[in-house]
Amino acid sequence: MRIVLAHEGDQIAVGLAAALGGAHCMTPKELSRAGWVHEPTTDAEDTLSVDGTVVPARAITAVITRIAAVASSDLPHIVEADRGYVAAEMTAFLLSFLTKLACPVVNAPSAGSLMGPSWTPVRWRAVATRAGFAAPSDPQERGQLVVVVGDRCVGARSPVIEQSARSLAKMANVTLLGMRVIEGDAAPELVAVEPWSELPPAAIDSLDELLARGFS
Amino acid sequence: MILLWGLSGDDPLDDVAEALRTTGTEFQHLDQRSVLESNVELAANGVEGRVTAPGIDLRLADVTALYIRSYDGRMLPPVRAGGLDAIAHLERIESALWCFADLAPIRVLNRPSAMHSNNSKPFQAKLIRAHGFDVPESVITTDAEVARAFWAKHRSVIYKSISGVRSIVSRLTAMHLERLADIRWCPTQLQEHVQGTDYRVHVVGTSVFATAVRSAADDYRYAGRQGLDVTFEPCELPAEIAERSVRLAAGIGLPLAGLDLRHAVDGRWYCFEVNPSPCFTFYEQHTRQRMTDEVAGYLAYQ
Repeated sequence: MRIVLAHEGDQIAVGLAAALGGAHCMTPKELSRAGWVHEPTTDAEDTLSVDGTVVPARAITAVITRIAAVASSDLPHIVEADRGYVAAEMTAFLLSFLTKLACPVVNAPSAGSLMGPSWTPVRWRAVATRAGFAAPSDPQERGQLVVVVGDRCVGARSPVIEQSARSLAKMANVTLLGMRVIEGDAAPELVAVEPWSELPPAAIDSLDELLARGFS
Repeated sequence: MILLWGLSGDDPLDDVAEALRTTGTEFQHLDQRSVLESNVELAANGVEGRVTAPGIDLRLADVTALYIRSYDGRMLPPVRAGGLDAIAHLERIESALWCFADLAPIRVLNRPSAMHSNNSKPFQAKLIRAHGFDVPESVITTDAEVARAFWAKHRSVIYKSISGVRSIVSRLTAMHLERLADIRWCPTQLQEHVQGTDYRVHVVGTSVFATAVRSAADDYRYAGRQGLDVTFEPCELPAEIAERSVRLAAGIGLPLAGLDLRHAVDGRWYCFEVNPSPCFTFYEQHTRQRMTDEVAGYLAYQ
């Protein structure tokens, strides 16, 4: 079973789950169901609740995360005064739960985010300069979508862009990275990193294949 | 130049500033209270730029060390009163400083990326165990039956928050059983209660300051609420435990850390938590251990 972890109402996640062979699109609301058991520091198998059914963690073959943290808005079923606290607790829970899973988690959570590094746009820009990107010469230009998926790169129109995109993904230690890029005169220009953008079919195929072979 | 970033009136920040002043070490205090009159220009590389604020005009290239004691700037009265523009200004400054603090090749207490682990106690527990300390057996669950079974197994069980939100550590009692079904709303941590003596251990670089904490309260920070006393005594840890504490703090990337240890009655050393922004002055006031000087010395080291 594959899981796409997403915010409530994330239609891109719903589409991605369908494209990945019928993965289960899970929202934080599902953490408010009996059946979740996590022992952070033992080898005991955890369980989770999927659509109300208790499932052992070994049944999960891959997780794609599309949430950096659980938000109060994910929890309309919790009384308003408690939503912030419950969101923080659920985020803390998911970080520990996801990092214990034996299956691939894309992108692997970091201590500050459930989907890769918790970098601000300023930090992405700083690291991007080290990866060979320049700042955008025209901030209004949207640029082309380039997606790094494991060892593949989708959408790069030149080897220089591909190399910089791969370098940025490597520096960020992520498996999946979408970004908007302008070709640029002297160097490729990074407009923005887009962790939530809709993946083009070729990127989904690459992700599907990557997950199927378990990152090997 | 040493840069201190945080609120004036914050004990650790004020005391470190005073220690630096006493030794004639150059420093600047970027006061969060002046955030709306402050600015940070950060170059694309994330490490060069300039900080300006009332009384401060500083090139980031001249900053040799940074001590961060910042609080949630959104709660500051001028920011709350300033609306969206004020929040946007605050976020620009924080974003630039967080980036600088993570990337600059200088001494930082502590780098923001290393401080995050404390926002998930079970995540941090795995790091703690990997560095050789014992951690109490825990279960986090939405299942009342699992919680009951855990209680039946350990008999003495505490519950507490697992996020960065502070909560009072409390003992699970028979009274709670009636409300146990409520845990299905949110994964809740139960932890075996370990009997023993508490130690608050502050690590500053490779220096260790241990304070024995004696109290009958479940959570000594709130002993007064239970009508119980708490005492703090400076002490020496066994060398192996002191070294392990230093290794753990360094392993998590925290040159300054506050470790909550317990020496159990069976002789094992447990670590409950590693605090990445410890209020060491509280313990210093009780024990006269010279932690402030050590922090100031760490920042001033060239």
